[in-house]
Amino acid sequence: MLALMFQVGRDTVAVDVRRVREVVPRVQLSLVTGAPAWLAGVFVYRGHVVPVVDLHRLTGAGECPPHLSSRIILFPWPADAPDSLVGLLATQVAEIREVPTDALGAVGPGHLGLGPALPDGHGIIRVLNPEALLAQIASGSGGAIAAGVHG
Amino acid sequence: MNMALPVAANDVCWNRIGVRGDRTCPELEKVTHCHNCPVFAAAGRRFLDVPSPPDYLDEWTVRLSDAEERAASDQLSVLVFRLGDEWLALPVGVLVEVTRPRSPHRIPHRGGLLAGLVNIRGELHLCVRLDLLLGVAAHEHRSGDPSPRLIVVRRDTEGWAFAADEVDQVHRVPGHSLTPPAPTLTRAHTKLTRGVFRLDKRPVGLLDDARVFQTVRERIR
Repeated sequence: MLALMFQVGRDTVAVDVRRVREVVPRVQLSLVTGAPAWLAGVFVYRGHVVPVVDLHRLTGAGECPPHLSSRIILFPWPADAPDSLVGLLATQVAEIREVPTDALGAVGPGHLGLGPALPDGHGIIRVLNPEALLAQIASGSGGAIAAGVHG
Repeated sequence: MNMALPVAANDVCWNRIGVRGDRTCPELEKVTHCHNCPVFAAAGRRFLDVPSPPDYLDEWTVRLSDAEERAASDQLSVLVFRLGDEWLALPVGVLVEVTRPRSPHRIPHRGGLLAGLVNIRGELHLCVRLDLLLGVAAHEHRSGDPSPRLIVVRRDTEGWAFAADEVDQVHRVPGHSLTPPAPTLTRAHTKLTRGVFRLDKRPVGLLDDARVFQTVRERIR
């Protein structure tokens, strides 16, 4: 699987590049009142309002560092709305490489929704399934993710 | 912008034992050059682990909120060539190659539109007289004629070649700059032309590739 690699706290996370719509730099996010802390905010992407989830907050790894390499990964969500996107904010979004997923199967213990663990050299890679993660958190987003936020 | 270098230049491995040092690094056997080494790549990525410059977030916020530029999608890429005294163009989508001219092998009892067969690197292609098809005045062979070329085109499964007297290059044409061909034009090619655009003050007829292929298919059957 060709995967986009990034960091969430101390976890290295891989996500299938075919799921990713676009990676954009970090932008100024407008806070959403009443939303959970892990909802970093919303921004306007090509005329559409896109909610952004801070994966660091979601997994209890503090706050996403304000680095150049902290970027927003845009995923189409929900699947039945083609123009609707959700952004995941992570850091060190800077590499695409081949990740062998043959060993995937034994699901290791992990943070909420970051996915099963895969051995990689001396460390561990988590293989994120964005749809599963977003389905898991959409209901708790105060309406920001499920329907998108308009206005 | 004050960017402290996250990597100290004097003690990094590529300056000590890598290609800029004494080349004793055992990894060089495998990667040949430090540029291919994961250590070097990891150090490069650390440059991105500095805080964003002050206006960076604002600039991207504005840039991403704009609707995507549609200008690019309105551009047509076309290959411009000359038949006789006419400048014509075909969308690059149907273009396979432009090659040096060669004389077609005539097919017995077939003439007219079908000039014959040409051999292009061992592959036989039908050679079509596009000038006849379009009713373009046969050109008189000028001395010092600029280089004639053979153009190979393909659309879906059918392909053929034709001789052009001169090939200019691929130009990008904004779709809205196309004007309909002059109605007084009685030549056969008005119905095979999608429109006319101007290139260096000379009019160029953009051929409708679908119709051209269809007409060739019908007339050389």
